[in-house]
Amino acid sequence: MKSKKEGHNLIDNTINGINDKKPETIIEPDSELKYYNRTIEEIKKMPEVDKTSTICPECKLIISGTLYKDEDNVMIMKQCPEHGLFIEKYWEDYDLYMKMKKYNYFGRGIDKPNYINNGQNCHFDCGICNRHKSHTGLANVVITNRCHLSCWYCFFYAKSGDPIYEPSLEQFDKLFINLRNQKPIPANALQLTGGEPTMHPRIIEIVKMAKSRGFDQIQLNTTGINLGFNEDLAVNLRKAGVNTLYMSFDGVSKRANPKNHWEIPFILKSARKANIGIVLVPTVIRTINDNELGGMINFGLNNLDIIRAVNFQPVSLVGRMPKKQRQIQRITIPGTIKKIEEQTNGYISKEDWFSVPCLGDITKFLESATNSYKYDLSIHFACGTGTYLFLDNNKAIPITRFVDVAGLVEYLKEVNKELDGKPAIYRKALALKATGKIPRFINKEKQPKSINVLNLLLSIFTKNTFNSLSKFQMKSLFLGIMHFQDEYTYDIKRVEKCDIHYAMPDGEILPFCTFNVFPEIYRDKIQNQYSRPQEEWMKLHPEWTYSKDKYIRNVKKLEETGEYKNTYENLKDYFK
Amino acid sequence: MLIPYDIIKQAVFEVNKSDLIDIPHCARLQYNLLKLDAIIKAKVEYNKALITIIYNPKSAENEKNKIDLNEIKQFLEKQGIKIKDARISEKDYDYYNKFYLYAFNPKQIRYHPPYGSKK
Repeated sequence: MKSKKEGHNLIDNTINGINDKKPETIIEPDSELKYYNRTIEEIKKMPEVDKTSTICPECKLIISGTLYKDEDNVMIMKQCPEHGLFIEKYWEDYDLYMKMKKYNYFGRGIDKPNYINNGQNCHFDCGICNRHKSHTGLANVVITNRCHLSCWYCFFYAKSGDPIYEPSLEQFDKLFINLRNQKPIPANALQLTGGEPTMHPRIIEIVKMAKSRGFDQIQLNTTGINLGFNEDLAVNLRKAGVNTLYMSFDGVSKRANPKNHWEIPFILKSARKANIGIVLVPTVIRTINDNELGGMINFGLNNLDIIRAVNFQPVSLVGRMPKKQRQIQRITIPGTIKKIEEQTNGYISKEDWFSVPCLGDITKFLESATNSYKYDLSIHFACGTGTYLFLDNNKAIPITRFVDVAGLVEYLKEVNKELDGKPAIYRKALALKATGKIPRFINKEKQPKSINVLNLLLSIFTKNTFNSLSKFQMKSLFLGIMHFQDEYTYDIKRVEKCDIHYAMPDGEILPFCTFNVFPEIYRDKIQNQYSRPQEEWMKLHPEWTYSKDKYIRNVKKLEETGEYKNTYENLKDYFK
Repeated sequence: MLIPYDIIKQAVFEVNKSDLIDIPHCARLQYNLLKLDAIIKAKVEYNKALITIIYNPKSAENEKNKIDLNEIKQFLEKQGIKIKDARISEKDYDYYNKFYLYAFNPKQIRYHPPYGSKK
């Protein structure tokens, strides 16, 4: 007997159509909706924070946007002459916004851009242009649009009847060469994504090809499910060159994470066997799973041997949805930080987070000292924040409790001024001298006793290799929050500094938010050009059917396993 | 290797600046043109009062969506462009050599030395 509504076979407890329904909302919305009901006259009386260029969510007319302070929040307001007023939360903590804003700087962009533009038609001239302010820090390459799940919020996978996008190895090689030929800084970190990338039959060859082209860091953006039930695949991917699984993880409970809650225990097991680190990637949606943020970090700490990071992504509300629903579900980086502080009993406080570009002076120092290009962390300060957690004596300690990060950054900023324009030998000597002063930024009383943080940090500064950074990361849990934009929060000042880029099959390079906020002219349009209609795909792959691609789960069978019970029962609470 | 287009068409419309209204409306017109599957690239330049469109014509030998010049003219008319006043030129466009190959090896336009080095 099948319940057609739910795709749940009641006899053998199997479920198909995994995650195709939104989890029920059980968390009451808090009283945050008043900010959306302000009139234009009320808004004009509020302090202005910044002005930017944005778009009308309805017709995509380029219009000016105003960031303003409403109580604790930074809001964005824009008015379309045809579609009226739009108000949205931009950053749910004014003080934190002003703190992070101090670390805004501009990188070097791309010296071999596809287009030369004057910016008048920006965002619709993209591909990438001479005006872009950041190099490619992370290159995303979509290797297939086939997926074994049907997640209710996803626009990336092929629905039944849609064209299939799965480029050839030759095409991937062209993309990889193009990325590695970028100037001044070749793209070095690659994320293979989809759909579900492990469904590509030649995934191992693709990874090997990417490794041979010189990428240091190769990530797989995956549900992990195929790896959970195929340890050999995990081992072979590691051997081929995959460093990290960038894995969806929307909560610890079944309710919050119908995507892969039951498979996580097996995925962890495979990852341990293969020695591939995992980054847990929760999409945070207010009223859906924002009550499990502390639990997710705790889960990471309980599996610190294999989980390297938890990278929260406050939901990007792309596509049509009812206005009230959008307002209720919106959460920004500071909203996430506040929830984490509450749910970790203050172990991870608001003060423990720093914006990604805050580290810019550290990478500039390393580049200046070694006279060789390093990553420029020049993204917009409102795009991403992070911190590191260490476990010491069963206590979770953020790095900021024993390393004066702000002080170190300020110190290196001054050192960089001294290094600027000097001969390479002089810079190396001065940098070595400066490195000797790093210990004064570490509080020896408060640092974890079980880890030599000073040695780890000095190793990054002196050896300066990907290896030395990975040693640091293996002793800690990185916590990140990356907020991708949608039509309501779109801010051109953020887009032009984006360093997460998609490499397209036609040779163009696109910033993440441009690719996803305007799929009709970028993502879907270009992928469709390079896709095959499903009828043609079926002729080339006679054994293939759409339904064969879909994963079917046996909940009861999975819940009865030792792996499942060991993973979810007896989790230690590090935030008690 | 799947390259969807070979020889397609490029049309250039010299229009009245007043029809373009202003820069934001130009950008939106560019967006609306790009939404059409059969239009590969579009550029609407306010200062020059030019609309340049690369499109997949009905004569092309491929299975992708197609459009002809008359349909483009009708579309632009609906967007407020007075086509009867426009000067239009059209020519063949070699997608593979002019667009695709260039995209995979664009010209270097500037040089940034490592931080700290003398400029």
